[in-house]
Amino acid sequence: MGKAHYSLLLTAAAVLLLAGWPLLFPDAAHFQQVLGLTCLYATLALAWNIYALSGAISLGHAAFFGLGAYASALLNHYWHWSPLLTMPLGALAGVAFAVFWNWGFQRLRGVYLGLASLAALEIPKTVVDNWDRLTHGSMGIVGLDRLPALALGDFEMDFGLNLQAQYYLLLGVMLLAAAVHRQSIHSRWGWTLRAIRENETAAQSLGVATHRERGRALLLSAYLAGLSGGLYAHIMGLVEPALVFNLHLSVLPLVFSFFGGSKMVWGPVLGAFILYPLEQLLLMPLFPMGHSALYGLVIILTIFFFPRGIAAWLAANPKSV
Amino acid sequence: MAGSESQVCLEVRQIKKYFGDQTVLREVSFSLGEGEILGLIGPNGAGKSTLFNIISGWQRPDSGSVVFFGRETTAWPPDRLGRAGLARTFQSPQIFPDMSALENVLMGAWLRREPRLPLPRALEEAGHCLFLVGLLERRHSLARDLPLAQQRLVELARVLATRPRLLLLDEIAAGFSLAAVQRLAAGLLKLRDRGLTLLLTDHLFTLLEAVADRLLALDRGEIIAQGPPSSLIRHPEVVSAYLGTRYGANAGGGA
Repeated sequence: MGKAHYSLLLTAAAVLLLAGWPLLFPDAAHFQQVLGLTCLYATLALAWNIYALSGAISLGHAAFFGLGAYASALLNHYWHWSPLLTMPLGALAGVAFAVFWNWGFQRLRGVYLGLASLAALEIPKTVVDNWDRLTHGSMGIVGLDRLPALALGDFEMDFGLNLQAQYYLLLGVMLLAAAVHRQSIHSRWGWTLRAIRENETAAQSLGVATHRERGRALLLSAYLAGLSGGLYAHIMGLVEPALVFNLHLSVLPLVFSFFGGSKMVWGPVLGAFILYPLEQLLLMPLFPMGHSALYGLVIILTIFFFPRGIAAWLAANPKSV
Repeated sequence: MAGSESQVCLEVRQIKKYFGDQTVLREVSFSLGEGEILGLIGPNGAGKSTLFNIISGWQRPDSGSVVFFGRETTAWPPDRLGRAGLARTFQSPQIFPDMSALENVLMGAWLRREPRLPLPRALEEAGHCLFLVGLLERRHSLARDLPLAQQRLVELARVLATRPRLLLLDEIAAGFSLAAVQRLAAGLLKLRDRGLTLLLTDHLFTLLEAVADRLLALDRGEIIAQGPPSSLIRHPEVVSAYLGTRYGANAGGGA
């Protein structure tokens, strides 16, 4: 009986901690900002990992992020729709690209899929970069509406200007993505993905339509990645091709997932919450010149000692917590 | 067993298959009645595996057709055939390496479309199938850690858990001890009594002799003989296909 209760207890404690700390430190604006972005990147990592659960390693998720960001930005810029509407709609631009991706890359696996996805990132980036009349090209679009404020009677949450409120919004979105991610592991569909990941031939001969199921994982993954992009656009108030289609945004979720444990429910979140604050709050202030090198070293050492990720190691050694 | 009143399960009609300019199968035709056990024999390179792949949707023939319970399935992908009740095992067993033996079999019972089973029922059925192949006590071992012969049994149990109507077994008994072959034979006969139709290949005659109603001998892409196991094994063309013409001639004289 112990194991399920133990993990439920641990999850509840972690969520309580994540939700509670800003109330104890209401003035720690920098922490709230960094941890808010951590939630955003954790959402992207969870999105990336849903596709990875089907055995596909993508290096092109910045495409979904960027398309989500740009679609939301354009709807807001031209038609002045509220970000609350443009973000969920804009994420569909990522999904549309995923449909072509899934069709075009259906025969690719492993390294070849990775390389193709890396190349695929260049398509939307180049289009956005050169379609000056629509997107203002490499100048990007500035002056986007910030995330709105919501009022319930006297209680107001300004998600755009109040960093504490923004943190809670991003935490909420991340927990939602984590719930979807959890279902993509534990449900019957999750086991279908695992079967495809472990042996596609066997899965197919059991009657699993492997291409279709992997496609579903990709569409879900692309939607959540696009949603992260939309959030990013309205948090920053601007989009630029070099910013939102940056290769960095493809690598980040991969690193967070592998670091935390890409087969574990909380792996991507754990990876994001260790690595991003480590760089932003510790390495950058302490070693302004060499923080990137140190950051790389930490990642290499961790993957060397915990090849299946931190979450997998913790699950196997619960007493060390 | 394939009585006149029983339904035709599988019909293979004039299958031709070329690899480049090499003919692998030339006009192979046969049919299989529901509840029948048909063995396919032939030396290496006779075309057995290609025929299996064509029937199970992994390869397309260059001409000819496959009909499964009255429906033409020649162009169906393997997963669609799987859902329709045609299951197979592979010469090199296709397991889920990082799942336990029980989880492997569970995939058969739980991912099946019809009937959809809730997890506890699927687990129960998976345990039962693992018991049928005699591997229940190894249910918690990782599939990758099992010896090859037991991986074959895991694959067999997983395929049984899909409740197939036709089961294709490709050299399932390779590497089995004689006792294990006899156990397997008894198990297969029991499954047939419940209505399962079987098509199997094997290099060893032990298993085929014990279970098959009928054997089909394939050589260089052609059916050279068919009949009950007892007579076919002494058939001169079959013996010469396996051992060369000299032995074939002797066997013919002796029979």
